[in-house]
Amino acid sequence: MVDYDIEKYQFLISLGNTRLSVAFHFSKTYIFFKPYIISRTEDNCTECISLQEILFEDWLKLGNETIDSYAEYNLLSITISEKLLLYNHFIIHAVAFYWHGKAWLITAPPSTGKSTQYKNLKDIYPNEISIINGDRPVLEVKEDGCIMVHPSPWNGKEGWKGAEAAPLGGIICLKQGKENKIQPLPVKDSSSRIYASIFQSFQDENIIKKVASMSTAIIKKYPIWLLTNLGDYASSKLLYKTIADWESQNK
Amino acid sequence: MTYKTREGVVLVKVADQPLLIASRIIWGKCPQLKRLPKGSDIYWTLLSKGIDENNIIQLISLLTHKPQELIKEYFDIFLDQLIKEGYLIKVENQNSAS
Repeated sequence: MVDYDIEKYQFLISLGNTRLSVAFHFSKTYIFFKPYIISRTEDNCTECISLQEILFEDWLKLGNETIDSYAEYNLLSITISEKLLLYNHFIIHAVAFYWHGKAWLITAPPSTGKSTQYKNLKDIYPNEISIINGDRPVLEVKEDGCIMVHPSPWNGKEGWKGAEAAPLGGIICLKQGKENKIQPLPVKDSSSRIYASIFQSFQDENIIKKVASMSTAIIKKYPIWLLTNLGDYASSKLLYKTIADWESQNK
Repeated sequence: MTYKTREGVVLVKVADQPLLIASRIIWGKCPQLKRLPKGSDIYWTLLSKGIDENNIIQLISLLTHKPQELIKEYFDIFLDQLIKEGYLIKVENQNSAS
C-alpha cells in the first residue's frame, strides 16, 4: 500500500492538441507539469486520470526506494500516454530535435547514447539544431496520416526542452557498435522497435492493439534508419548527412 | 496432444508484421514481445480458436496448395519455439490419456 496524500490535486493540462484532467496523489507533482497546466479543476472530477497503484509497485521493483511526486510524475507518462491514444496522440521514448522545419527522433533503449548523439549534433551544428524534448515527446497522428511532434513535461535528466512542435521528419534508431554505419531499417525490425518505444501499461487489449496501429502510422509514412555507432562526432556527422540527403531527395 | 495459446497474449500487426505481445498479467511467463515470421500468424489465429494440430495442417495445406508434410515440418518448428518461450501451452488429449 502506498502512503500518499488523501486529497487529490486536480488540474486541466494541455498536451499536443489534447486537454486532459489529471488528479495527482502528491501535492508537489503539479510542479513538473506547470508549463502545461491550464487551470485547477472542480472537485469530484469523474473523468480525471490518476495513477494506478500497480505502477507504483513497478517503480519499487526497479530498485527505487521511495514513492513520491517524482515517481508519480515519471509513471504518469504511461497512464497519460494510454489516455492520449483515444485522441490519436501518444508518448514515445525518444529525443526529439528540430532541424530545417521538421522534428527528428532519436530512439533507443535507455543508456544507448541518445543524449550523446544530440549533444554531438548540437556541438557540430549549433545554429541548425534545437531540442524539442529530451526524453518523451508527445506524437499526434493527424487525419491525413501526418505526425506532429510536441513537447511534453518529461524532458529527461538533462531537462532538455525549448523548441516548439514540428512535423515529424524521420526516426533514427540507435545501436552501439564497433563501427559507424547507417542503413534503412526493414519493417520486420522497425515494427518491434517502434512498438516497444510507445508508453503503455500492457493491461488492456484494446490499448495494446491501438499502440500497434499508431506504430503502423509511423512506419508506413516515415523513414526509419538504424545507426550502429561509436557515439563519436563521426557517427553524428553520418546521421546528419543521412537526413540531409533524404531531405534533398524528397523535397 | 493439442496446443493452447496462453491467455493474455495478444496478436497484433505493425505494418503487416505480426507481433505477439504479452499483457501485464502474464509477465514472467513469456517474453513481453515476439516477432513472428510474416504469414505465420495464421497458425496462431487457428490455435487460438481451439483448432487441433491435424486440422490446422490440412487447412493450411489446402489454402497454400503445399503438401501436408511440408506444412507439418514448418508447423512443428513454430510449435516448439512458442512452447519453449511460453506463448503456447501443451494440453494432453483426454483420448490419448485413457
